[in-house]
Formats: sequence, C-alpha cells, structure tokens
Amino acid sequence: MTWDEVAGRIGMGFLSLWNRKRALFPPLIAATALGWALHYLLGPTLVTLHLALLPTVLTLMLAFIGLIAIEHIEATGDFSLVPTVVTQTLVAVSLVLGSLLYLSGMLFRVFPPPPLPLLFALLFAMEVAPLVTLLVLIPPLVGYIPRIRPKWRELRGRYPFWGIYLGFISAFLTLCIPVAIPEMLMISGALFRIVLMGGVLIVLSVLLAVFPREGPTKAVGVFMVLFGILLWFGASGGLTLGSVLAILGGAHAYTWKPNRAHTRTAEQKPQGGGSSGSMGGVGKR
Amino acid sequence: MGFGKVAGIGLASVFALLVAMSVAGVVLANSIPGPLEVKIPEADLTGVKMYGGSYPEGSSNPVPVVVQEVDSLSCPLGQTITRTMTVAGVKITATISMDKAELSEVLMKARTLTSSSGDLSGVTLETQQEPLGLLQTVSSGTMNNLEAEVYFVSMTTLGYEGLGIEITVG
Repeated sequence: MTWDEVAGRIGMGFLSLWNRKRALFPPLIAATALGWALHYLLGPTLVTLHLALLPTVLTLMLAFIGLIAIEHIEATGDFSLVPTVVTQTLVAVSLVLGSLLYLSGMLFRVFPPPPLPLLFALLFAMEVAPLVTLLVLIPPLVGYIPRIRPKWRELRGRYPFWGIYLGFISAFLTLCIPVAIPEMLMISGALFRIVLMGGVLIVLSVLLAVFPREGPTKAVGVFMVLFGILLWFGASGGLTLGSVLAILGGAHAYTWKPNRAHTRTAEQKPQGGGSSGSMGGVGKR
Repeated sequence: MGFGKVAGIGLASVFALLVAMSVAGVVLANSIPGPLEVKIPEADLTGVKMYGGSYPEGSSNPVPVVVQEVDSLSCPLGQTITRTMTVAGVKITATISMDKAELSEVLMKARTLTSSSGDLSGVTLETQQEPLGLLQTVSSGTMNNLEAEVYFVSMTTLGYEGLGIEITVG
C-alpha cells in the first residue's frame, strides 16, 4: 500500500472524526473543564495537571483538524491534495504532541532536560503558547459560522490570509518583548533590534495584504521565513513561537496562489454579473 | 517547492541553530526573569556599575533592588543558577550549573547581593538622585562566594562549559 493510500485512509478517518463533532466536542469540553476544576480543587500536582491537559490538547487537536485541515480540503474541492494535507497535519500534530510528551517526561524525570538554548526556547514558548493557540484558532472558528463561511473562503482565495495573519502575530510577539520584559530596554541595542525585526515583519505582512499576487507573495514569503530565523539573533526568537509563526506564515505566503474563480467573480461584479462567494476554484491555499 | 518543504527548511534551520548554540556552549542575547538564586564561587568582573532601583519598574507595588551592570563577568569556578517557577499551580525548580562561564554585558536586578571576600580596584562612589541613590563604579575586581537573590538577569552573550541542568517538581 502506498503512502498516498494510507494518507487517504487517515484523511477519511479525520473526516469521520470531524463529522461526529457534535458528539465529541461536548464531552471533551466537559472533561477539559472538569480536569482543570479538579486540578485546582484537589491541589495542583503533576498528575492532575496532566489529567487536565490531556482533554484540553485533544479538544484543540480536533478543532485544528476540522477547522484548518478538513476546511482546507473542502474549500479547494481538490481531493488530490488529501495526502499532502494529511501528511502536513500528521507532522504538525506529531511535533506538538512530541514536544508535550518530552516536557511531560522531563517533569516526571523520565527524559533528561534539554541543552540550555533549547530549554530557554521551550520556556519562552510555554509562556505564550495558550495565547498563540487561541489567536490561531479564532479566525477559522469565526469562519466556520455558516453565514460567514463563504466570505471566509473568499478571503483566503483573494489574500494569503495565513501569511498575513501569522506575520502580524509574530510581529506582535516580538514587539511585546520589551513590554513583557521591560529590562530588555536597558541592554544596549536590544530595543533597536526588537523594533527593527518586529517592524520588518509588520511591513512584510502589509506587503502581502497590499500585493496579493503570486509573484510578490513568493518573494515576501521567502523574506518572512528568513526573518523568522533571524529573530534568534537579538530578539529571543520572538519568544520562540514568533519565529515559528513567521516561518509558517512565510511558507504559506510562498506557496499561496490566488483563487482565480473569486478574482473573476469580483471583477465581473461591477458589470452586473457574477455571484459572490461561489466556490468553483481549486486554487491552492 | 510546497508549503511542507519551505516550512520544514525554516524550522529545521532554527532547530539546527539552537543545537549549534548548544554544542558551542553559547547563548545569544537572552534574559531570565526571576526569582533566581545565583551562586558564583569566584567572580572576576570588569566595568561594574552598581546603583539602587526598583522592580518591576513602573509597577504600583515595586520592591527596592540593587542594579548591577557588568561589562564582562568571568566565573572560572563556574556558577549555579536556581529558578523556581509555578506552572498552573505546580512548583517546578530548574537548577542550571556550569563548570565555567563567561558573560558579557550583564544586567542584574537583585534583592540581595553578598560576597564573603574579594578585591576591587578603581572604585568610585557618587551620590545620585532617587531612585539610584548611590552609584558605585568599579573598573575591575574579584568577588568570592558571590550570592545573589535576583529578580531579573540578562546578558548579551553567555559562554559556558560543563553544563548541568536539573529539573525537580514540588
């Protein structure tokens, strides 16, 4: 059996899981609430923390698979993308679960602590991870509302939304460093480096919004990936997740293609033709 | 090139950079918010400025601190940094020990700073307006058994040898 066939089956598994969302989400959310209530009521321990984290992570994973991965396939209508999207989703889920498992094992003293630079990176990421998770899930959650869904798809067809959005979050995280750690301002040149890198990320995000065409978004995407790496030189990696988001946003901008159907629809509108929100295109987003 | 490849190259570059920094024993431009306990058996310092201050600055309830700015700090006998943090109510203590350490452009905000012995040269004491109070400058010196309860420390570079990290819970 080829990987494409395996990925296709896994994709069908994701879909059937998402189709049962009405049955799955209520108990998961209830288990999450109960887990956190028990954690704080019984006195916080490492075991109760993990009992609370487990349903939380499962809820967020299900939301990620349904709102981003499956929505992406549905929006394009191109089922040949299934193996690629499933592979990317599995890699993303494995990386997140792997990191959490390692952190968990480290706290239970099963795994050794990482080297110092990686420890700093993990500590920075842990502090902003809940905020970043919320920020990333809010647009697809809002976009899933049936009345807004066509506009949400149209938006992603016309603009490299994730490139712009993740670029702005990355810039926000980077520019927040002096607010979160004001003492950084006393280190010579630190403010200049932070403002410069945060500013460049804002400019790149604005460029993606102003020139949503394949050529410019490719060039800006490459620069955004490079700046995601450069953030480690003088801006604490944008508190780690700033760097990760800039790289993911840049990669998305690099591979984004406008959805021709939406562009045509928009161009025809002033002449009285075309209907908004049709999903005929198969542009890769 | 697809999304996965571009993202993979970017993320792998960051991971490689962090691994390279770990292998080289160097940390670039980092800060560690407290509370921290820093113990240095022997600290060789140059370009020291010490003055009073408050932490966190601009807060409605700040605590008085000793601010120490050091151009270069050498710890030939190593140093131990202990940080206790609470994650979702669970107390986690990280102890970072190094056999040798070299730090540059260090900024430290400490509640207490004690040393059992040492020698300082080029010392100047100047009265200053609040919140500095008193400004002490030292061109170079050695402080033995330096212990500090630190609220915040940052440095431009940190080079180290013989790193040991221990994480304990509870």
